[in-house]
Amino acid sequence: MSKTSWLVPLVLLAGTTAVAAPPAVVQELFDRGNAAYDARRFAEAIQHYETLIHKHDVSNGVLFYNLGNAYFRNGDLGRAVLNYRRALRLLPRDRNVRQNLAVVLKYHEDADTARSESGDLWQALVSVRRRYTLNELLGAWVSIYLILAAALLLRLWLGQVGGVRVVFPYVLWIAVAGLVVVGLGVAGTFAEQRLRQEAVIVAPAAPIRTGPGNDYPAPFSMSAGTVVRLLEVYNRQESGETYAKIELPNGFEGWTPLEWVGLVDWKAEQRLSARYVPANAPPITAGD
Amino acid sequence: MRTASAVRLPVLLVVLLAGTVRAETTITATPNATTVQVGDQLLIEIEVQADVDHASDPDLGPLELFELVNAVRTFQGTQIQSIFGAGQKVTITRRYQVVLIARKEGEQLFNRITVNVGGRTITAQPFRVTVLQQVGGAQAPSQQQSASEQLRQRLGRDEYFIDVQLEKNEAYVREGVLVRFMLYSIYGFSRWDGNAIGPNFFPGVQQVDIELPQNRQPQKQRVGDKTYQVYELRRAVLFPIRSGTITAEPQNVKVLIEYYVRGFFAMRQQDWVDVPTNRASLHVKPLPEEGKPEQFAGTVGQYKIKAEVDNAAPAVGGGFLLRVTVWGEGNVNAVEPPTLPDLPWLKRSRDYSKFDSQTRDNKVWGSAVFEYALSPLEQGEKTIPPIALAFFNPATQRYEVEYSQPITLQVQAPQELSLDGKVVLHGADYEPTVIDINAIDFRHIASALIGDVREGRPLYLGFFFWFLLVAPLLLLGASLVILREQQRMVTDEAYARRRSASRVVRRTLRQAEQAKNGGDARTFYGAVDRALVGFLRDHLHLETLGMTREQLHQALVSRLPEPGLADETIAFLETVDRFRFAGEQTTTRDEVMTQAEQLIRRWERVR
Repeated sequence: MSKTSWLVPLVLLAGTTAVAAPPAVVQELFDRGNAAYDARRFAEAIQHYETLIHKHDVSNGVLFYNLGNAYFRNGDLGRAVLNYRRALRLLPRDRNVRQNLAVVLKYHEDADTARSESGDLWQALVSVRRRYTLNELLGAWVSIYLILAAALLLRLWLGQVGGVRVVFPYVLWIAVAGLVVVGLGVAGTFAEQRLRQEAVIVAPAAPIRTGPGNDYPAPFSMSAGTVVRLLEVYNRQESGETYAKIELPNGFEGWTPLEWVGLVDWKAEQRLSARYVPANAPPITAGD
Repeated sequence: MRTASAVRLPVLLVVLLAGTVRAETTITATPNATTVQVGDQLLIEIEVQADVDHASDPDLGPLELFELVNAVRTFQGTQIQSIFGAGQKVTITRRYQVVLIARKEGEQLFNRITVNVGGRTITAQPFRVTVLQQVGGAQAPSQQQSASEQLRQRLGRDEYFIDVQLEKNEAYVREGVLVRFMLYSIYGFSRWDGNAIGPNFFPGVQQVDIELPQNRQPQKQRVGDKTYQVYELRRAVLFPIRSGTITAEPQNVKVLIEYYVRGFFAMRQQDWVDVPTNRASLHVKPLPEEGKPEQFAGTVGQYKIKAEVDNAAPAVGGGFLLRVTVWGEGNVNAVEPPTLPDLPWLKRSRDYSKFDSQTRDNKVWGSAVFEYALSPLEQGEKTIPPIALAFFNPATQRYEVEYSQPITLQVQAPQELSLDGKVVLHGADYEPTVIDINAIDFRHIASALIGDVREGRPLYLGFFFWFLLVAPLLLLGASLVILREQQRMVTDEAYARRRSASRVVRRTLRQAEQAKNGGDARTFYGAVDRALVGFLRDHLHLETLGMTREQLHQALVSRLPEPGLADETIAFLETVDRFRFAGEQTTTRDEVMTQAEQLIRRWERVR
């Protein structure tokens, strides 16, 4: 795992708690999942990892990474992409996660659509922003803000001191520029993670329909691993079907069954599952 | 002019309901025209919105001038959940499309289009539609005339007309009926408006066109005293979707005809002309109830069924495709998926369907492929029983049931699901992708949990985050205030003296207080005098040094204190002077102190 989180001290300064050792039951299940993976019993490994997420409310980047690996080795490309994406939210600079996600996407049947996200300068900037978590960016922003405030206080109280008077303008403009740049990063990450609901197609070939139901035509289908955006959820009480309205990478919109879409924000997915999936149905993220 | 069929449908748009009504329940009805001619279609779009789970379908009320042709629900839903927004809203929205055909001249008031929701009847905004008599076009449907008769009446000639030829006049619902559109013309024919005889020529049918041979030659046919060249414009198979009478009203089709103007030289000319069609009707019978099998889902035609799997030895937890193919004659696009037997050892994850149709011998043939992605849950030898397909065969006029062959699977143990060092991806294609994991740079799992077990909450939800944001602002604000105060104290003497007046006078009064008990009178009254005069000097920024009492009085009055305060102050100072230099009564010191403090407090209010 990467240990290049140079912003962590700043985040800690801003109030995060110290890292605690995992509870014994969590560690035990995690180890059993790893053992099953090493024994090539990937379905069993998935079961252990999913239990940690759904029953013990564990949301850890390493766990999502291992789960993505297990899904891929079990032949489920869609859920592999989904869990790598989840891992990247928590470990955005982790090289292993990035590498395996890149490997998996090579086998994505709509790879052209997926790769269309990057390419220009804007996407390069977005890519840089995505290397940091929301808390890291917030910690950096607050740190720059405190530096700016300290500089202003020094200028007020010790403005007559020659060194302060000379250095202050540079500090001021650098800090203001930093505030704007990091602030934009915070806004972008917040919008991406909290306002836009990033989702992944998990069915091997999900038909994209023009309306929320099997009675609407499906002009095309999307393959597992396609990253989409969830717009709304529609429940038809007559048929019991729940459909998700999604926006595809090329801007098209369509409807597909909710259980064929996995939300990168796992907490939002748990809320959706609790609301729409019948009690006797298998969990949405269980390995199919 | 557009005309449409006069199908009388026993459609009663009324119905079941439940739930309660709130203020948001609305029904809107919008016609596509407010004036039509007899024989024209009128389309009404109806939208019902309610915040309850159930509502009836709308009722149009009495139709005096119109006949109901078709009414379909085009959109339905009973609950809309808006997530990630500002809460959720539960509503039902239903849209209907009602097709009417005008039968009589007059004015129709649509004021009773209603929907029943929760025991309440909600009425749509009324509107009127005027029906005019036909002008110049085709006759009213009740006056059935042949195309040539109409043409003769209108133009005085019958050089060309289109005969709509139905293979038969009676058929079952969803049974295929061949129709041919034949152009009769005494002139040559170049081309025609292909959109004029489109899928909507016959209302209430699904139409599958049959491709006509290229370079087909016209046939010669004698009708009455004329010899016509007969061209086939279009050939199609109609599949009626509901019972009743389907009628194609006379219409005009734009046709480009060729003819020669006789003269010294014969010149070829072309003209677009309106060619009328004749009226054609098809009586559609409902499917019989007698002998209807339990599995029947509405499929009509003659079909066979077969089932196969792509992997007869899947592993537990693995996947395989069950492909059910239905093929034969009929509208394959309308073939309903066969019902799979309920097998507890099988998990069904997704379905696909694919339809392929073609025409041959003036019939529609094709296949429908239904694929079910399945996953076995138990190990051992398992059997998928025969899958039934029930359909109505119009040729024999009875129901038939075809079965697929049973399929035996050898379900393997789950550990054999993954090949050693291989990953098998089942995508949308039939053939899975096999990846050699050792040939790619695929990183191994992590052996230990790093970091918090649970994702920390966002910093902006913590108190300390907002404290760090606000504290510097408060510090900066306080610094600015303090520095400004310091600056003013240095540069503004009057302000500085006024700010320090209260503090100085209290210190001086403390000296007087000490002198009050045991001090001599000169010391005590001197301290009181210094305190009050010094306060007035500092607070009012006066130069009291060397002032007489009269001058001091004038200065005090100029500051506009409350009435009498300046006089009281001067009198008090004179009293103090008297006690100070001429002796005093021992009981007066407390009163003097009290009076001095009161005067100071009163002067503090003066700016």
